[in-house]
Amino acid sequence: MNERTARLRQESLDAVPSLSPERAQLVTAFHREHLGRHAVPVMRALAFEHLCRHKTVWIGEGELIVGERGPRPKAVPTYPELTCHSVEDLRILDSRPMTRYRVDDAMVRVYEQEIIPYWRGRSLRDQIWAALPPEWHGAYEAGVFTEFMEQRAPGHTVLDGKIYTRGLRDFQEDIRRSDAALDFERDPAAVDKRAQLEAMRISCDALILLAERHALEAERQAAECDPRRREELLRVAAVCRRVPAQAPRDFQEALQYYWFCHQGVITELNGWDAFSPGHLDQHLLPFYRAGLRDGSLTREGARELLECFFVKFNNHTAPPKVGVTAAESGTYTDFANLNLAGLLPDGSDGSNEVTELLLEIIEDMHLLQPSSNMQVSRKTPDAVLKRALRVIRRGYGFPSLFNADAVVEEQLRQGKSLEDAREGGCSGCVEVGAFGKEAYILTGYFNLPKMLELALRDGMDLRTGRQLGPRTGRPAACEEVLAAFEAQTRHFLDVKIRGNQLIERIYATRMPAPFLSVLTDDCVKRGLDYNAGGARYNNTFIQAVGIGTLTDSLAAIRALGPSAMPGLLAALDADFAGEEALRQRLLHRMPKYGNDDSAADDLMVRVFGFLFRAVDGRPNGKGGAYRLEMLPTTCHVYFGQVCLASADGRKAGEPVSEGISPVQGADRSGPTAVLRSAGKMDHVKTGGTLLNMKFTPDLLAGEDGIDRLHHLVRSYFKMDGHHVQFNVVTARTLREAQADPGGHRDLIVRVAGYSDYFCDLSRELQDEIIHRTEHQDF
Amino acid sequence: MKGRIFNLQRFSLHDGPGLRTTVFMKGCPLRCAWCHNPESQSPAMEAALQEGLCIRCGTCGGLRDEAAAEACPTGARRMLGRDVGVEELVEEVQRDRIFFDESGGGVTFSGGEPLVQAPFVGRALEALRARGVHTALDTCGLPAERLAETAARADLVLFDLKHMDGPIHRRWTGVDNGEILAGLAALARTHPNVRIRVPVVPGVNDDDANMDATARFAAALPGAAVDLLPYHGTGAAKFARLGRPYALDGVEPPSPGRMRELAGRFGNHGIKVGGLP
Repeated sequence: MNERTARLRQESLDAVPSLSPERAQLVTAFHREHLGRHAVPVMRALAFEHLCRHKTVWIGEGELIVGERGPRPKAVPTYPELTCHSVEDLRILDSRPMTRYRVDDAMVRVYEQEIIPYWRGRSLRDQIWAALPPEWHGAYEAGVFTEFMEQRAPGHTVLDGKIYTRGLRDFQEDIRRSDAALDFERDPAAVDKRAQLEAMRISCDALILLAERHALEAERQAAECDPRRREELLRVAAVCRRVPAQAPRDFQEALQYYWFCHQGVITELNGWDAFSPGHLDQHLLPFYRAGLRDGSLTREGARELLECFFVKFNNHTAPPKVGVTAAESGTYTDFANLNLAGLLPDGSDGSNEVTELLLEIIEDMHLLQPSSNMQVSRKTPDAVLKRALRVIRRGYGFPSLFNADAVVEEQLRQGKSLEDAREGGCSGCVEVGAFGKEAYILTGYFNLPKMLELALRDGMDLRTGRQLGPRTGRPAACEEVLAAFEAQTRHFLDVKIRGNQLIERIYATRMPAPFLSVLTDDCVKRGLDYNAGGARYNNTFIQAVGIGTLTDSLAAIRALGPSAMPGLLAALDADFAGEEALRQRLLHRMPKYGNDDSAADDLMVRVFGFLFRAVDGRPNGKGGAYRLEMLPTTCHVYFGQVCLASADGRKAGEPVSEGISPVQGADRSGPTAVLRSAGKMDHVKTGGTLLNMKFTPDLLAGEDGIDRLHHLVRSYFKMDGHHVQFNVVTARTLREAQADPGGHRDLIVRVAGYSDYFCDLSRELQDEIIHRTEHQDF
Repeated sequence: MKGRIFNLQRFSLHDGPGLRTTVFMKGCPLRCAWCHNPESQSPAMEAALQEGLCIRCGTCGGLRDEAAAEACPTGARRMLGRDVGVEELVEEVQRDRIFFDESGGGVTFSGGEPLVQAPFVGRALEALRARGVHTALDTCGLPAERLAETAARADLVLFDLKHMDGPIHRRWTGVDNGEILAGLAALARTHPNVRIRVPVVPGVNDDDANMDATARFAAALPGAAVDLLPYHGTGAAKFARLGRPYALDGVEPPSPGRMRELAGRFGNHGIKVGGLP
């Protein structure tokens, strides 16, 4: 970092997250005035235009890349048309100890007087809530599953390379052509398509207007400052007049263009995972090389611009949720995730000199956002992977590592073209998508251990005292237990999917995203919205959580035999009160997943196969299909809280296992055994899996340590493993941080599919991370 | 045919190249005072108690037999030693094959002393080698009459050499070193890949005279390589767990500076030392 970027970074770290009422006020005023005057997509586009015309334009001192979602860094707007915070929500956000958002009294008043009265009953969440059937609500309240779209809009998407050769004016030309080709005599949907295309056209104008306002602000500031900064600001103004209207010509224009698109997507709606630039190193390479060749750019100049770009991501704190759902996922992270290396669409190695530059910046800046991952293919040079491993060894938790060849294969299985699959990658936590061409929507986590809990008790939920699931009897033998488990799971998957279909239709008809649709093939060609199936590919994920806990519980039930079931069940119901010896036996003497022991792993394979068949290929509402994903984020903590004691020796309320990682502390045969166990899952059939491993730094010291990690990664990827991430910390360091948060504010740990500040995590999550098996050198 | 193993250690990093699986055989003719696997010395199955795990549930009734180990809910009481067939062992070792292939690793037979169960170890080495697994033998060289035949089946021999002086060797390990030195000298002439491993134990064998003598001996052998392994005290707790006295209480590991100095002494004899951190 140079003086400028070091200062910008520090300002970003020091900025305190707060909520801003500005967006809510603009949207509410606009809706009050215009609702009912336009077709829904046009209405949404005009609302977007209204925001771009009136939102505060912020250009910070020394910035070279400009644009903030809120009126200043880390001032987070709200989206009351989707989810309207209550006064109580705002007070909780302002006062809770973890991931707090400052909310001033003025904002509370605005909400009380303007926002809440208008949106109560009108917000999409209220509409969805009212439309969902009672059995959906029952399962949701019991902690069987969560629902992503009750908090934020469908997003989970990433940009491809399209903006680097064409401007929004070029896209408007595509829109015009698509409109001209509409056949009103033969296509009854042509009327809707025209409205949709009109909305897309308006949204392009809106973003160009926002850029122009930034140019004006830069010029205003330029008139009042020293000559050096004046020159920079005039350059910024010139860049903002070029992009996003027209194709970028150099490195700075390319970055600024993406950043305007990012602003557009996250201003239009608060889609999950914000937005991401995809294969940034590949996209920037032509500009980087051309700049070095003609002398207009130096490596240091490129680095400075990228560092300014990184700070912008870090300024963007996630919009907070509504309701008391902080336990599900309390984080400031907005899940923007850069892809490094990987493959080019022609199948050759995609790593280049910008990959190296980005890794240097990731290591040097050490920021929460953007997160980063490396797509590691067979063709990725060892030196490139090892460079990433050296960053990982620093203990920041990123970049995480993905198997690019498996990522391609997973997408081919879903029916995508080879080129589109190679241009795809991973976003958010671990999910796979074809960048710029796909709506791949995460719908919510699904609690596997809860299914077993219900299967053992004839569908009764002891915690709530309700007959929650179907009456599947009281099984004793492992085979009977499995059959009951499958019946319960099928039932609740049906409940979940029925809810999803409803929510998808509500978004498709009432909450289109015209600007995001411009950026996603083939929405323009089809005249169809991103939220209505306009994308070339449409996959809907259900994320199963707790397969480790489930597997170990089943393995114990099988090992103990049917005669032990009554005693076991009584002990579980009593949370092992007076049964510590039994609990110890379950913890220590039973087969455990993660030890390459087929007595447990075979059950994992079997359960996974069942889940895959139960989910994969079921049609969604957008012409695509449901897919299975094995991702927990932080939901394994919440799911554990709603589960009774389990047969693996876990006590009631304790977290269940995360991702496809073994139960915390159950893997005792070293890292190769963990990878072998995890490798028995058929990852190619998923839309992503998450495996967490923790190493102490001493095990990774020196070149030998890098070699070891390298061998583990390459071997796991040979087994078609999808993803692995490494925490490199000592438990002692973590305990120190727990005791003295002030002195460890910069301690980043890998939580699940992302990294977070350790001191911002809940005590439970902190304890769990400490507890996760440390693979010690023997 | 069954072999008795004490432990099968995957992701083993210090017993040969790459990521390895080390098979610790039970039974050893030596009684080295610094042994970090004292549980592996006796060829018999042994009962052990790991105090830290015990929850005083009384399930074992205080007994130390196999039934008590089976009944123990925490695994605090367990039997050390497991009898396995060649095929079973080969199957277990092969599970990490993908890691061996990737890292240039393989299997290492260690102990205890593998030569004590030479017929079993020989067959296992042969079976693994036939499947393309890189094989290593970590041995103290005794029983001497079994060395040549078994070592011939390993791609790499890690030969432990503790002291050049016979009486001192006997004092610290319980046996004389005559056969060991002769065996090593003979092996180095016939086996293409022998590494001599010298534990550096302060006050036992780390004096300049012994180190020079070791270096001279090694330098006279064709193609021999030497690793110096600094002593560490992890054996102390294990001796305590077995209720046996630990003769090296209070001995500190050699300093990195001293290790470098010793490497320099070997360098004077034309030997490049490996194994240092």
